[in-house]
Amino acid sequence: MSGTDESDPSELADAVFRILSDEYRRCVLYYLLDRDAATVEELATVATGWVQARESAVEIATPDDRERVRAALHHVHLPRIADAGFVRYDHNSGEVALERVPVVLESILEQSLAEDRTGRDRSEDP
Amino acid sequence: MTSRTPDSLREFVDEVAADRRTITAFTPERPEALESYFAARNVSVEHEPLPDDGSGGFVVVTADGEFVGSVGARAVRELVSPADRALEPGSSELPRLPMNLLADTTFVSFDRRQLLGASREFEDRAYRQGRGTLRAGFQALSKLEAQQAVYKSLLKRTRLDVHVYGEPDWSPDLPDATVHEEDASEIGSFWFVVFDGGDDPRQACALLAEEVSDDSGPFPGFWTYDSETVTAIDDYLRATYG
Repeated sequence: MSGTDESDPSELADAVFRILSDEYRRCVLYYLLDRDAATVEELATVATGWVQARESAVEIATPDDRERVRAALHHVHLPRIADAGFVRYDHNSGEVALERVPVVLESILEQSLAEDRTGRDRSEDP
Repeated sequence: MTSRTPDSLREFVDEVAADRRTITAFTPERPEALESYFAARNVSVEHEPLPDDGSGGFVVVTADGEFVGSVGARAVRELVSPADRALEPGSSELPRLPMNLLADTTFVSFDRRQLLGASREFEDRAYRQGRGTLRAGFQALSKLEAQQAVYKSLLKRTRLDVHVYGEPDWSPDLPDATVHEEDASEIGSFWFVVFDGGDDPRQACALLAEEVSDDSGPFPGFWTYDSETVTAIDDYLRATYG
């Protein structure tokens, strides 16, 4: 059984920040926190579209972009989030479900969303 | 559209019908402007709620379940906003991108009035461009009678290469156009306007609709701004009827 030892606050903090250091992983977790479970295909679409929209108002994400993101989620990001114990990733069905979300992860995600919101409002206001 | 060239007008319509697009808006709020814009174009918009990160979310287009592309919802809002005068594809860089993604080909069931309206729009586009090839199929050449004046002025004021097609039940007086008198059954049942865009593929457009029952329609078919699709129809018509 993999997972993070929640009784060790510094280990937990390390795990949370390692996971959240990547924008694709953040988007996946934002999305999962909202609805608990999704397929890897759905997450690939969401992460591709969302990260693209966060970066540029007008650029289009192509099927190639999505395929790269899907491969990265499948091979790198989802296994890492699963190793930390936050989600369960079934490679066969493609199902990704929230597992054990420490309070600290949830509150950092919410705070990070709030900061994204205000950061963007500020940057749009010259 | 697949790479294989269809060998009948019906096949073009069938391919577009099979390639029907779905639009999914991943946005914090319900995308009402988007829904009404696409409802008028017979494309359904689905909504998946997204946590609000200030980005406004994004819009995903799928065809037959396959991802075609996505773009920020803000750019699409600009496209569908009625205040936006830049709806014309090619008129500005910003809305042109989502236009390509979202509205390049739209499957519709026209009634005769809509069909005439859309045809007028495309003829007008060719007129403004002033050069290129315009192919128009009227089912029966007699249906061109009401529009002969329009076509006369089109020929007089532009350098367009104009081809008209139809069953030979009337002889149009259009000496500068190439008139194709055809007995082929698809020429009798299909209405089309195909403009290759001249030297600007972004101006390419085509509509193709088949009369399925009697004179009142409906006419299932599609209109497209996708230059590859336009080229394929143009090639087919030239190869088959000249």
